[in-house]
Amino acid sequence: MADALIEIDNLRHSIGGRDILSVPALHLAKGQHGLLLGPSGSGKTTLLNLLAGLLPVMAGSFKLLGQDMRQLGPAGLDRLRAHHIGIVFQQLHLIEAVSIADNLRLAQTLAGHAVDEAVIKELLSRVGLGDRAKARPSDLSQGERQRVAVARALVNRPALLLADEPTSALDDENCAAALDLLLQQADLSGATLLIATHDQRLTARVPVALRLTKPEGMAA
Amino acid sequence: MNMLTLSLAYLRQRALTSLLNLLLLALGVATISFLLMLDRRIEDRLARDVAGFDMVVGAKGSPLQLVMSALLHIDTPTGNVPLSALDTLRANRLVREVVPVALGDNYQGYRIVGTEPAYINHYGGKLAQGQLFAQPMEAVLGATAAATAGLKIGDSFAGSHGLTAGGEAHSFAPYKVVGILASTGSVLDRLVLTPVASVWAVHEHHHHHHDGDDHDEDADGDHDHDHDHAMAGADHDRDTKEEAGHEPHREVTALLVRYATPLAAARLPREINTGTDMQAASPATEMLRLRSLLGIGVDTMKLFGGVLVLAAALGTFIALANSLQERRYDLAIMRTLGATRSRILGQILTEALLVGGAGALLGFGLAHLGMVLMGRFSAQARDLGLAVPSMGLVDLWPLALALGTALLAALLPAIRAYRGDVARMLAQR
Repeated sequence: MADALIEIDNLRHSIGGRDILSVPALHLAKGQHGLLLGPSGSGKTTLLNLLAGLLPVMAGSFKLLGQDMRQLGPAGLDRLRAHHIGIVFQQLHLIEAVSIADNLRLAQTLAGHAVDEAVIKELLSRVGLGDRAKARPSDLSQGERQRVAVARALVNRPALLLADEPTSALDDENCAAALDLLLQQADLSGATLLIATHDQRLTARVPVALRLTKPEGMAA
Repeated sequence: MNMLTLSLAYLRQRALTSLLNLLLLALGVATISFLLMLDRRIEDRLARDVAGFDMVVGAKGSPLQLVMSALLHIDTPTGNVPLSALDTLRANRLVREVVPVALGDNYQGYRIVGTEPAYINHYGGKLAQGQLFAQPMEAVLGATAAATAGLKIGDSFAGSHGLTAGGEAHSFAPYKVVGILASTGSVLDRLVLTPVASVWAVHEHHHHHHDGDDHDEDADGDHDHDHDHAMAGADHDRDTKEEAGHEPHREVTALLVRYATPLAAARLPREINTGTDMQAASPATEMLRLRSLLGIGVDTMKLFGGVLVLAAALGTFIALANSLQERRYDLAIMRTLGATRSRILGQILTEALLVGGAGALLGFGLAHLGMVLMGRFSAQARDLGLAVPSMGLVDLWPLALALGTALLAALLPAIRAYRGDVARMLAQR
């Protein structure tokens, strides 16, 4: 695949000798979006962690942007994540000690980029928090916090945007808005958006790239 | 958003804990810094005040007391020695210089010392105003004494009986200020210097004056206000003889001696101690003895300061460890945002350095403030130069100690965060 972003074949992951994830194949091109659809406990988060380089590849083949992930050490994985991957976690994991704008600034700094206030302002405006840049995460509602997490994941214009259940806590209107934002920004930066979710509402707008089931009956 | 601003944000987030921890560290640093500075200044001052004189000759008694009274001017003299001893010693080929010291009175607590200009030269005294004394009852004031007493050239003042403030004033025999010395940082600063003859004159006059008064005296004529009066001229029995036409029997309190040759150290003290009614004391030996006597107390206080720093280190360790335990998710998130392990390590150490650095600086400032306040409210401390803060390299090591402590306290949590499994940490939430 000429513009391949993700190339996974026969990827397996186990804990304590027990397989918790098996992915026969997952191929996504740059700019192509997809869902990792499956119920809770089907290994969606584990796969996201593998894709983000937060877990080592134990068995199988996995290339990201043509780079063999098994060849990268911890520092290489850190670099890859910093420059090419944005993540929206299910638990959001905002830094509570600083403002929401600082959360975005921190994401830019940690990735080794210069702080770009224009990008931060634009993103916060898009998620409807333009006037709350100085607010602390603890001052926000759960839905607002989720929007901050999305904005933070997008702030470095990643090639791969991973989202773990990004819409599960939102009502239909906000779900649509968050998805709009994810898709819009992914498109703007030519990023591949991969959403791990059990939220069936998303299937109407994003194709399923991989359907996961619980370990006893795992299948692609 | 760099490491520093993020660290400050975390410290602000738990402001009370950070502040208490910082205060604990500051207290430890302040205690140990204060003690070290005080110890160093006392040592410096003592060394400066006794430097140059090889031997002190005075009345028999405690040699330490003799050295402290005649050189440091912080104790009462052991008695007096005949003036003839001055000529005898000056005639000795083993002696390069002898400076007499005659004590007995004070002005506002500053000792009036009957001596010769050589005494001033010995401590490098330079006139800031006026001239050196030339006649009896002329006085040259040390810088501190002049400033505190508010005396200027041409002023007159009466000395008070005894070596501490509060004695009976000799208003019948006033001194005239003819010179004021520039500050030397030595004992000279807190002395009133005058020819030996002034001290004799005051006390001869004093006794005539008292003899004419109708006040209580013992039956044998030795009146009861001799206090810590050390001056030889105050020997009343002798005064009586003088009045009867005898040559006055002059005495001085002590003789400060510089040897002409190292050989003198082996011979002179022994000759004086065994062959005369006087004693010879070595300032260097007595200062060593003083340091060993004081050393136990100072060492105990230093140990106390060390315990405080250790307690502060433990406090820092506990605070940082707790804080990092609470923030392990944040650190994991930072890893997911692209932070390298070394960046996480740097982040934690920056925070520790902030607490350690601020605590150290605050402690250092408190120690200096303590020195200044002590110098302002205590005359003895002022004499040690404590009112004027100064900094030496040796004063900096408690700062290094505090920073090192904070870093050490942060190291274990930092290594845990460095090695932590990000995916597992995030999953635990």
